[in-house]
Amino acid sequence: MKINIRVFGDLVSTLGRRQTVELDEGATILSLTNRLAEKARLKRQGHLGNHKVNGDELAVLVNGRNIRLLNGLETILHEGDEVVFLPPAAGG
Amino acid sequence: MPRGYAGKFLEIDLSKEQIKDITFNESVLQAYLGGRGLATKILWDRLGDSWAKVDPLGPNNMFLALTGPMTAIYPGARICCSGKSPLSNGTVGSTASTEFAAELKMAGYDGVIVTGKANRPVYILVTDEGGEIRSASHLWGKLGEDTIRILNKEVTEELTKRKPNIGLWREPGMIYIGPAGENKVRNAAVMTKICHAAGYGGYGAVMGSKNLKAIVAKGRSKLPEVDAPEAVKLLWKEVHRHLIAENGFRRMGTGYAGYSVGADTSSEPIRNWQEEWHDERRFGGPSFETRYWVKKLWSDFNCTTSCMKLSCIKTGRWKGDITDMPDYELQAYCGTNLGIFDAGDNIHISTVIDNLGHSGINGPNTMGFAAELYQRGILTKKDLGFELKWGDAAAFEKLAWLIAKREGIGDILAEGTFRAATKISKMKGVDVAPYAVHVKGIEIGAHGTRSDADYTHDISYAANVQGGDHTSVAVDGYSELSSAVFTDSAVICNFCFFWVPRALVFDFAKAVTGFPITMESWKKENGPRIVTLQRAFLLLGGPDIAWTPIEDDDNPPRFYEPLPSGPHKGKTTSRDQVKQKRQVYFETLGWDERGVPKKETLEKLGLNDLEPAMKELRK
Repeated sequence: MKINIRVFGDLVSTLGRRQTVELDEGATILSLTNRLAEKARLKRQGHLGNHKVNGDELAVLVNGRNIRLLNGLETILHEGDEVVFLPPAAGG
Repeated sequence: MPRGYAGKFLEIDLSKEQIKDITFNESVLQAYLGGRGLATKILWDRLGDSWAKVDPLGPNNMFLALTGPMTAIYPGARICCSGKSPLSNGTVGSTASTEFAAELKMAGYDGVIVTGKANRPVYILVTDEGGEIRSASHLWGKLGEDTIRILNKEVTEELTKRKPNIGLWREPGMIYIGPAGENKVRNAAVMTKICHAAGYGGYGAVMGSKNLKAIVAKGRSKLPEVDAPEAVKLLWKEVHRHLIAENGFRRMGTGYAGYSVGADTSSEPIRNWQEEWHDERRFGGPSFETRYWVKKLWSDFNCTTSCMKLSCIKTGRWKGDITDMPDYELQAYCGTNLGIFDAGDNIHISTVIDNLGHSGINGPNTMGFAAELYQRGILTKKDLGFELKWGDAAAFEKLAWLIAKREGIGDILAEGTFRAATKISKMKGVDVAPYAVHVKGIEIGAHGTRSDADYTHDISYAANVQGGDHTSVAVDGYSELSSAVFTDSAVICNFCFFWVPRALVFDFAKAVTGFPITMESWKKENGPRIVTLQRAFLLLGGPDIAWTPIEDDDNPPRFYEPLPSGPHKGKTTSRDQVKQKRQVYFETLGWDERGVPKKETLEKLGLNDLEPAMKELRK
């Protein structure tokens, strides 16, 4: 199934802004982040760039909903879902 | 007694000239902390029953200047100003970096709460001996720099006279208003330190409506005790270690470093947001650094980040102008948004804006709006008294004065972009609302949503309880509740918070107060409690307007126009995204499909007394 990814902030340099990822039915956020890390050749376990995937800094949203309010890394994805990776950021 | 707090708040009724010390229950402080959170709670308790009737510019409104338990102890001391906003008819936690916050706590006060209206211009002086009301007739009408100079001298001399054997060590801290606030320009700022401002919300106008020119504080005691001193010392060192390593803002300021966020992502306002990209690449940081910076490392109380740079114009047309950098927002709003691409002109407009006490974002938003109307021939030379061409710094200076003094068309523009648009539409028989860039009356910060490449997106402003406030945007109704909602209530600077591991910050909060503060509780309970109250205020609104759910939970028309230029040409904000994300946002916070807080949410958050009012709105 196809999952649409949007990336912001300092993760853009490692993951690019947008991409579509092909995953097996029933794949979870964890499998998605593993795939993204693999594609970008990121070595650090459980991290995307400097951000711990299941940490407090990175907001991961599935169709606008934070995964911490769903099933965390075990949240199951569906065809056409949009996953957004939002590192903390703001302006001044 | 909870730690981190000085232990009392100063309450002053300017109508009755009554001064008293008050305290709050520990349970209230634990839930709301201070700053934005506590202000929202106080405003609900005192004015909630009659909210819709309270005129933000009338004597029944309250002006609050509150610190939080972490202020001056954690790096980056700030003051948080609040009250009923003359712009949104809701509340904003509007902060500014200033030693005033530290002085207040060292004088034994966690905040100042002002009600009523003085019958002549006054300022409030807060010292270890308590609060006093003093005459400010000699200050009324004075620009920012003059106000500081005179008050500094006056208060220093007075306090030295009272205690000749005890030194003052530092000059007094103060917050004040300029002519804009005095004349109740609806989006006027509360100023401090020449070029710092609590800009969002229009609280300068609230001070002006009370004839309150300034609040000055000088404390000669220590900062409050903390709950776990050894832990705080260790945690401070850890926080410092993270902040000292983060070099970008220290070397380049938020104007320079901020360029990589707003300007480079094509989200910077140009000529009233008609575009969000310019090719004047020479306008960014470098044009300021070599020619204008006279002080490269300048920080506020207990701040490691030290992002401020002092710019001074030493020769030429604008000789003598002094301002901070300017920061990214004022580079955009006092620069590119006015079609100004010259660093000197940008510094000059920033200086004028600060001296007049306009908000550097909101004031020039209205000026840019006026300039677009001039461009379109809707406002004419006759209306303005002069030509208002993009890029003409002298003309924009004139306009800034006109608005600050409410003269001529300035009287209409002083109502803020939203209300000015309503008035001008009527006056000219042309609908000019499409050119007004605001959300719920609060003019939008210099980060657009159309490129989708900046940190601001679809619902960042549309669902934000603080409208166009870019410092506290809506994300998903969960993750952001432990950022600005927390820092505005703990009252610490975001630039000493962003790149510190969150766990460390919350451990610090716990070690200072002894409260069981966690990031999770802020995301799930404390944060939602505060924004739910703020949402209720917005929906109750009044007296001149209350926002319509869904319809007003939206971006301005301009943000749905495709970008006409730049690397993201053709892109725009997606209405579908806004609709979808807004629903999720409301749902996550336990509000109904129109964003009215649900009964079970109010029960869960301990806000049952909101139910009667919210019930009415659900119909």
